[in-house]
Order: sequence, then C-alpha cells, then structure tokens
Amino acid sequence: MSDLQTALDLLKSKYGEFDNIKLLLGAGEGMSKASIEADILRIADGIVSGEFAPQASFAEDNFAQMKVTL
Amino acid sequence: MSHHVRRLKPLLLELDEVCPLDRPVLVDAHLIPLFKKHGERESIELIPVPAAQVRGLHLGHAPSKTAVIIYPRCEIHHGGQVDGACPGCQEARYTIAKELVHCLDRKEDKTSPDHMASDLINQLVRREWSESPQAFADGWGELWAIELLARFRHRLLVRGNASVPRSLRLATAVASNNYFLLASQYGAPDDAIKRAFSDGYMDLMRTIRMTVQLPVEMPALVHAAS
Repeated sequence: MSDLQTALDLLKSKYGEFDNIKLLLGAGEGMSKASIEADILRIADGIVSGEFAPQASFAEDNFAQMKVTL
Repeated sequence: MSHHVRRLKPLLLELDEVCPLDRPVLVDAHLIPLFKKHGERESIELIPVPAAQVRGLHLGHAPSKTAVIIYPRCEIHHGGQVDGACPGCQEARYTIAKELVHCLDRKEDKTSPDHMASDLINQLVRREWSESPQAFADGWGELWAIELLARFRHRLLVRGNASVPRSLRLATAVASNNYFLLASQYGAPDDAIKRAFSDGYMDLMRTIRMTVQLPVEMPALVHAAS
C-alpha cells in the first residue's frame, strides 16, 4: 500500500469520507510524488495520534486593531 | 475561469460589508463565518502542523457539510497572537484562505482520493495547472487567497491614479523590490503581495471582476492620510 493510500485511510478513520482533497505545495527543491505522499502520511499520522490537534481559534485580536494605511 | 468568481461573488461582496477596506481581513472573524455560510459548511476545522513540503491541505465532504484545513503553523507565534508582519503568520493566513476557497469548488473541480493518487500530485509537482479542472482549481485557489486578504479595491487605492497619489509604501516597495511593509499590513506573504500589485495581475482581476459585475472602481471611503 502506498504512503498516500495509508494516509487517506488514516484520515478516513478519523473523519469519514471526503469528496474533495486539495493540496498546496511549497516551492522547495527536490519535491516528488513519493516525497509529497510521505509528507501527507506524516500529517495524517500526527492528526490521528493527536500530535496535531485542531486549533480552537485563530487569535488575531492584535492584528484586528490595525488599519491598512496607504 | 469565470465560474470561480461567480461562486465567490456573493462572498466577496459580503466581505466588504463586514470588514471595511481599511481593516485587515481576519481568518476567524471574517473568513470562517463567510465560508461556512456560502460554502454550506457546518464545521470548518483548522489544524496547524509543522511546515514541510505540503504547505496546505483541504479535506472536504459536502454531504456532511464539513471541511478540515491543515496549514503550516508559525513556529514563533503558534498558540499566541497572530503578527501580521511575521512571515510564518502570513503563510498560515494565506494557506488557510487558499484552502477555504475550496469549500466553494464545483463537482468537476473536486479531487477525489482516487484522482489524487493517480494524477493530481504529479500535475502539481510539475506546476501543470491546466492539466485538469482539479489542478486548475488548485491554482485558482492561490489567486483567490490574494483577493481575500488584499482586496482588489484597496489595491486600487494603494496604486493610485490621477486624483489619488500612489502610496509611498508601494512606491518604496517597487523601488526596492521589497514588499515587506505592504505585506505586513495585509498579513499575507511578500511574494503574494508583490504579485497582487503587478500590472498583469491587476488587469486580470479587473477583467474577471467585470465579467460578473463586481465593482472595479476606486472606493472613496479610505483617505490617503488615514
């Protein structure tokens, strides 16, 4: 089984089915299908194990006080 | 290309109602509620992870009205307050915005797990955005992330015209090829902001907006000295 398939199975076990999966890749050198699949597996492992947890809120209170000036 | 902006049009209009042009667009206060409403999602979960080759990931399931968005956490401000001038925070905001856009994908834009395994990753690695509707939608997500965080009509003000002078921040950025000050204001990455202000990109966005009758005129509500 490929890293990607393993990752998708892990994510399905946590969240159920998906009908849309989208990726944003970095601009670094040396990217390949295999290395990206391995990275997705790293993320899936971390989510399922609880190492990567949902963020309760995205704290932007300080930023919200700013003005976009000219 | 126009179907993406047709889907986004009501959201873009409402964004300008809930967030004045001279205020930064916020992920939690503005974007998440708007994408829940217009993307018909009851739940949008944000999961920060250490950055690597995969910068962002959107996992969506329209029938259950859920979306999970994985984004690169800022190693300096993770768990604390977002800093608009911090590249890590900018990257996080930009990635979330890009992945939120996919809550509005049409059926033909969506990437199934099978398609992702067979074709999409290779297309994305080779930057072949036009290879399939799914890869195309991925590319457009990045453009719309710019529009969400650095709105077109505010960019018109910054660029100026015969009656409103070009902002000093933009003049400085162009002269030095350093967009840090502008990027800090929008809380978006320097390279995205540089692209946003380029002539070609502004012309493209003007054309796209005109096709769906989104406003393309310079607003009067922000004063140059504000």
